[in-house]
Amino acid sequence: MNDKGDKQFASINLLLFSVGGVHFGIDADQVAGIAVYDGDQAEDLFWFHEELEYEDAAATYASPTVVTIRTGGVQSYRVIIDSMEDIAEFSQDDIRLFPELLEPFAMRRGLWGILPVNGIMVLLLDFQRLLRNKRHCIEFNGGIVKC
Amino acid sequence: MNKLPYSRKMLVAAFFFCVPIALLSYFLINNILDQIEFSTKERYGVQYATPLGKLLEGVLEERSTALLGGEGSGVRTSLDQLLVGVELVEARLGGVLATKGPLQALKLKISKLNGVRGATGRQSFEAYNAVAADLLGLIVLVADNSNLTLDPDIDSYYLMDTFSTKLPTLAEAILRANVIASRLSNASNSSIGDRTDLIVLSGQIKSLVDGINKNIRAAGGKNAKLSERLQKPFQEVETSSAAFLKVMAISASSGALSPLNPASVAKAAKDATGAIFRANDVVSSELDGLLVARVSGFRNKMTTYLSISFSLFLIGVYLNIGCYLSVRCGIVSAKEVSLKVAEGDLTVEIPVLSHDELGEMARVCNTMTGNLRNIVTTLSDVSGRVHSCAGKLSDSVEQQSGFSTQLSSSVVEISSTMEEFTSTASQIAQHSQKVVERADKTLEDTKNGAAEVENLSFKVNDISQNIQANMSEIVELGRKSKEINKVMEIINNIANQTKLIAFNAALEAASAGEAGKRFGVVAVEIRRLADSVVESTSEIEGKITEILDSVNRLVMSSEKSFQLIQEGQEYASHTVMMLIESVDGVEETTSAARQISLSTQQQQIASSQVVLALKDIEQGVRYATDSIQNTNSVTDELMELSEQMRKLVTTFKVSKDGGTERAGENS
Repeated sequence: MNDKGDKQFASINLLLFSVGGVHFGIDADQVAGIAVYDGDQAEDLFWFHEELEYEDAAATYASPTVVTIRTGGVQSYRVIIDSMEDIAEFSQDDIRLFPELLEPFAMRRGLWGILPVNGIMVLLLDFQRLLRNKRHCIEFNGGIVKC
Repeated sequence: MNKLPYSRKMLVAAFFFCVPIALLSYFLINNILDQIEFSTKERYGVQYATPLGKLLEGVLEERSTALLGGEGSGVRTSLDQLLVGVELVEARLGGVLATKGPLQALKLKISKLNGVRGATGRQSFEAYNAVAADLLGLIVLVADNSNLTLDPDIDSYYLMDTFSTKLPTLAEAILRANVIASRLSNASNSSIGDRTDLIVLSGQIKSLVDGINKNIRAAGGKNAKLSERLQKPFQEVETSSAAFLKVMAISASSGALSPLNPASVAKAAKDATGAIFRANDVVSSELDGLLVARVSGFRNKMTTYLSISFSLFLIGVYLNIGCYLSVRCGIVSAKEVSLKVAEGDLTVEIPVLSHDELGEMARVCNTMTGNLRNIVTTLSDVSGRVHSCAGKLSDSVEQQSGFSTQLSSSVVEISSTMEEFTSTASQIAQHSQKVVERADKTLEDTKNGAAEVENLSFKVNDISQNIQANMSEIVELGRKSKEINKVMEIINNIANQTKLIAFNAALEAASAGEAGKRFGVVAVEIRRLADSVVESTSEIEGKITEILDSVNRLVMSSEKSFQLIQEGQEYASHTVMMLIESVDGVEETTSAARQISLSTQQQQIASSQVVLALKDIEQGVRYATDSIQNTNSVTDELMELSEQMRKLVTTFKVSKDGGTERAGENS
């Protein structure tokens, strides 16, 4: 069990994608489903670059794909990503955490680590933490997301 | 006349002025002298006729005495005395009046009267009648020879006529009538014809009295005083004659020879003859007075003419001398000034002494001298300028000579060049002929080329149609490639959906843990398959895109080719048109080449003519060169002449200042 647990603990399935040329990876367990974006407009549907507050607001999406995030609650949370690349299992030893100096700021954006894959730096993203921070900010600022 | 000095000219003029006056005076005076002589001769006639009248009176009285009875010796003495008076006059005037012969005949008849005293009354009567007739003829002769019958004045003429012809004849007629009447009173002495003679004599007497009255009226019509002086004696003549005629008429009208009263007849006859001879004396003296007055008038006229002529002569001499002196003064001063001017002194002037022609001439000469002075001054400047201009002209002529030489050489060069040009023109003509031949060949080739290009145009048209067809096929191919592309999109969509499904399956497999690993493997494989499909479709899409690009390029190339072919077709059409136009142009070129050939031949001829002309010009330039050389020599001569003229001008003195300035010294 420990081995298994260690073994399980030692690997992680990541869904790799890229938006605006930046590669990201999220834990496949946080993803409830993937669907093609058909232009739908909904309150629980967010554009990825808006969620991460890209400076470049005009980010282009080659093949927008809607990723449904497991929230564990009633309210759903869907994010539109681009260029979904792979779902693979990676060793946790390969994951590098942010320096302590940067970690509070990175965690505030839901970023929790960096994984180098074939010479490419993949930013690991926690949508659930991002969602929590977002809700906290909404509550704290009276309905206005400003964190 | 022109050779005479002016003084002699004036003398000649005076001579020809005075001579006519002298001649005129001479002829006038001569004429007057003739008239004086004429009138003097008339006076001679009067002086001669007066004693003749007295002699006639004596003869008539003696005839009456001899026929009617009375003392004859006393009468004889009276006739001799009267004849002495006539001879005295004859001695003085007989030569002038040529009365010598008739007077001798008269004296002879008078001397014969002594022989008829014892004869019958009729013989005595006839003898006395003959003497009376001679006396009357002598009186008429004297009148004729003394110019009395040619008297020019009316009064003297009629007095002369009365004096010389009328009164003596009247007296003779009255006394003869007295004798005849006396004879009629004595029947024994009467003869046949006496009464008839008496009647005839009465008519003569009456006629003579009328004539005398007419003469006296005519003479007195011009001279009133004369008429007054003559009125009384001739009144007596008329009255006594009328009384005699009355007595004679009473006697004659008594019809059958009634006896006359001789005493009354004789008394009437005596009264009448007395009145007649008194009147004759009066007429004689008046006539002489008129002639004396006429002679005196002539003398006065002659004196007047002489005075006028002499005065005119003196005036003429005075005027002539005055004119001579005036003219001489002007001429002498003009001569002196002219001599100075002739010596070259132009500063002198003729003094203007009169306002006549000489004064005018002096003014004109002064003006002329002034003008001459100005002319000489100007001529001096002009001569200097001429001298300098002649020098410049000489330089110019020398330059011109050089230019002419250069021109001659240039003309020679031009001639040689023109000869070369002529040969070149000949070559051009030959080449032009070749050009004509070549143009004909070109025309033919151009026509062939136009036909070939037209065929080419047809071929290009076919190609264009084929390309259009190919383009349609290619466009259809592109359209089908696009349809394939759509199919590929569908496949790609399916692959993507398959991939998503594979992703979801992988997610599910991942979430399923160990149990889902195999499923995950399948999902991965499916995803890989989908990826390979996507890659394949991508490759297909790439290939199709390449095909489409190729098709597009092919289409564009075809369109471009089509456009090029169309352009080529247009060019071909245009080329055909141009070739057609070229045919025209080549034809024009051919004709132009022929014209050029002809023109070149003409040019060749013209060039030959130009060469000849240039040779003439060359000859002319040689002549011009010779002429310029002559001009140069003439210019040198002109310079010498101008120098001579300048020297000549310096001989004139044109300024009074200093008296030494000469014209041309400044220049």
